[in-house]
Amino acid sequence: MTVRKEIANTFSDAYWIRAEISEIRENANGHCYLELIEKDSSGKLIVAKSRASIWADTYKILKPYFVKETGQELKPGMKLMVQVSVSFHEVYGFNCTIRDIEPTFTLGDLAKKRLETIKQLHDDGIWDMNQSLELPMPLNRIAIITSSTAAGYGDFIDQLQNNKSGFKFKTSLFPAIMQGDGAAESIIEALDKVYETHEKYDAVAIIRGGGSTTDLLAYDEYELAASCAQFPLPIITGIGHDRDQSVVDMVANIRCKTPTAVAAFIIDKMDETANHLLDLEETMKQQISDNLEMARKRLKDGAVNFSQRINLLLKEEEQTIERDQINFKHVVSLLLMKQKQELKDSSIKVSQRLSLLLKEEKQAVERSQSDFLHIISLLMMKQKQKLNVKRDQFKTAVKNLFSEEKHELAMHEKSVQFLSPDYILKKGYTLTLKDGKAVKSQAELKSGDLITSVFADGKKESIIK
Amino acid sequence: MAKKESTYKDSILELESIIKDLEENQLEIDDLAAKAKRATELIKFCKEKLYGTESEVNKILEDLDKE
Repeated sequence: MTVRKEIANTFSDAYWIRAEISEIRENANGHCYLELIEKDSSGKLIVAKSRASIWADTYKILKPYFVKETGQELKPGMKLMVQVSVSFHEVYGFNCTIRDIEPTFTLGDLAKKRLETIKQLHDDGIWDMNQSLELPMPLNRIAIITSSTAAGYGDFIDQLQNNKSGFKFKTSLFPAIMQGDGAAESIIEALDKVYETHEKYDAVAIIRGGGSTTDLLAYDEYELAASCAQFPLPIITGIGHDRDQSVVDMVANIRCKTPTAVAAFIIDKMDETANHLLDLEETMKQQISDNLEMARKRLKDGAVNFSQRINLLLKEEEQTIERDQINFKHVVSLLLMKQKQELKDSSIKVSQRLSLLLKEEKQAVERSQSDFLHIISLLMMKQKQKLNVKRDQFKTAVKNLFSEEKHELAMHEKSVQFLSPDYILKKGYTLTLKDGKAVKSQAELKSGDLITSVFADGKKESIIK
Repeated sequence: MAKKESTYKDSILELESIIKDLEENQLEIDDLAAKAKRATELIKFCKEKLYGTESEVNKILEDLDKE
């Protein structure tokens, strides 16, 4: 009694306090019973603890207000700012009766926690791991983490499989609790299962089809966000909430608002891939025909160029030969000229030398000739003189001889004159000739012989009787 | 990483390299036919990956049997 009165007197007002919920339950009457605690600065040690209650008439107003404002249900671990009145009951003990609640405080605390989670992910160096994964091409083998009961899943599959372009998708469902208590753990478990066969998939879609948008705190939890960030396959989220992005959305490779958006994104990617392929195909066809055309042109040009080039080469060659020829001629004529000059020079030298020699020789010959002539003439003169002497002697001798002989001859002539046949014949004698020979005896003649009788005045033939 | 993915990517890379060669006109006329054939094969393969074919379906069915 005393305690009860004392407390009622001392704490007569209502007080705003900050506390953390460690336990919470509603009973059938609509009352809400909680255990509030206060921790030290390390967040580990409990320094204060108290029972609290929200009576049904208050709770039915406060609860929806809180959910509306924070998007969260009241639950253990949540920090609250509440207005309480304090009472003591002999049976039930010390109790705080909650009269009002300040949702912004809780929101601030959640935001703070979220920031801490983000910071932690950064500090761990895993924040952008999933974001930095390249989306595979094609993107058509999808592991889907969602609640198997959700209608959104069926719609999602339909949307994928009935795509306009006719892409083929391979999908596998990995069921998980997608909101409320245990959601984070359940999704992590599903991720672990995907990981076991992750090489069979191109990406993981974490989708939450419809339903309440409350109690999505799981998606801000460090453990889940870290699992998503480090997952080896790109994660595409479609969690479907109105609030700001969750931390899981932030670390995911691709974030969409809803499962429908996820399906649309995947189909878009496939369209992109297919268009790329189509472009390549078109380009290739075009290029091949271009190449062929170019090859054809090159062949044509090549033939023309070839003949032009050949002509040019031939011309050049001709010019070179011509030039060489001219050069050659020039060189040869130079050589010839030089040779000629040399020859001329040497012939002049030779002729000079020769004429000199000849002159010398001539002089020598002339000299010896005149010498010779001189001697000869001397000799001849001597000889002449001798001859003249001899001739004179001979003349004299012959003259003498002639006069003696002349005398003798005159005497002989007279004697010969008497003895000559003519002289005899004239005296009447004849000479008989037979066959040209003188007949000295009559015996030499027979009858019939022809004889010739030579008279002083001629001849007469006669035949012997 | 996943085998199928790299194969698609490899095919695309090979295709792009063929096209690059074509664009730069580095292909001999002798190679042109072979390259065209190869590119067609690659495109066919990639299309199979995107749109699926009977053989692919059969393979999935086989996989299902195993599981």
